[in-house]
Amino acid sequence: MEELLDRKTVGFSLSYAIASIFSALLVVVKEEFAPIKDAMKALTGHHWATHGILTIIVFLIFGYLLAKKDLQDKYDTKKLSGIVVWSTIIATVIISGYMLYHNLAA
Amino acid sequence: MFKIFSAMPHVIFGVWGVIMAVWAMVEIINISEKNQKRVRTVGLLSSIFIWASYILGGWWYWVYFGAAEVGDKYIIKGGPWPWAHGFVMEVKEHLFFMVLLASMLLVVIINNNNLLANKKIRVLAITVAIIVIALGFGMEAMGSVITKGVKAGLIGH
Repeated sequence: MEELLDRKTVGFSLSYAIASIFSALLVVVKEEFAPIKDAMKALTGHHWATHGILTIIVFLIFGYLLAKKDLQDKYDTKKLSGIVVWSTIIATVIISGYMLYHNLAA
Repeated sequence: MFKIFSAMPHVIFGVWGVIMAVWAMVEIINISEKNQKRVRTVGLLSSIFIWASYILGGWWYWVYFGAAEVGDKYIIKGGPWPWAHGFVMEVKEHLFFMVLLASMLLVVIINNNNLLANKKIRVLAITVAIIVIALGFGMEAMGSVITKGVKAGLIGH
């Protein structure tokens, strides 16, 4: 019988996906809405610093919360590998695609 | 002089972070009773080095790269390759967070599972290591382009 994944592994793998997409979408939101970027700048002194801190906080909080749930039966290694890979690809496409559009439109 | 040299540590730590991820991946592929401590050590070192790159690179970026009118950002934007900042740097600084998170996830997987007993968990660990490596090399490549953007801006062609 296949050994179940550890709870933290499931929790933080899902959290990685959530945080990656969050970070990518935050790029678009802060570039499109100046007040949000200004608020992020006001929080730490630099919008990028705030962006990093928020992304790490999302990763840690969701990882902690999801690790407390019984998700090992629902997510096997194949699913988690797919989720981790696809979230990386999607986030990369969102960030790169948006920055390309942002540059061409400028 | 300090400004120029103080940009280097983040690159060095980044490269070492990637090297440790490669090492971890190879150790996981060849997992045995004998190398499990080494897997945990290099997996942890990968994340530590990438964190160091984040802190040192973030500091340099904040203090020097974007310094009003004189920072590298403005040299690039005023030169023949403004896209080296507008596209390449912007992508690099935001994709980087995934390298950081993936390196932490690798530590979680390595330290909370019996890699020796389960091949499928090893595949997950290797997948995450590859993400660190691929994006890490991407960081190095983009950094090279950005540096050339500064050079182009200074030379003027």
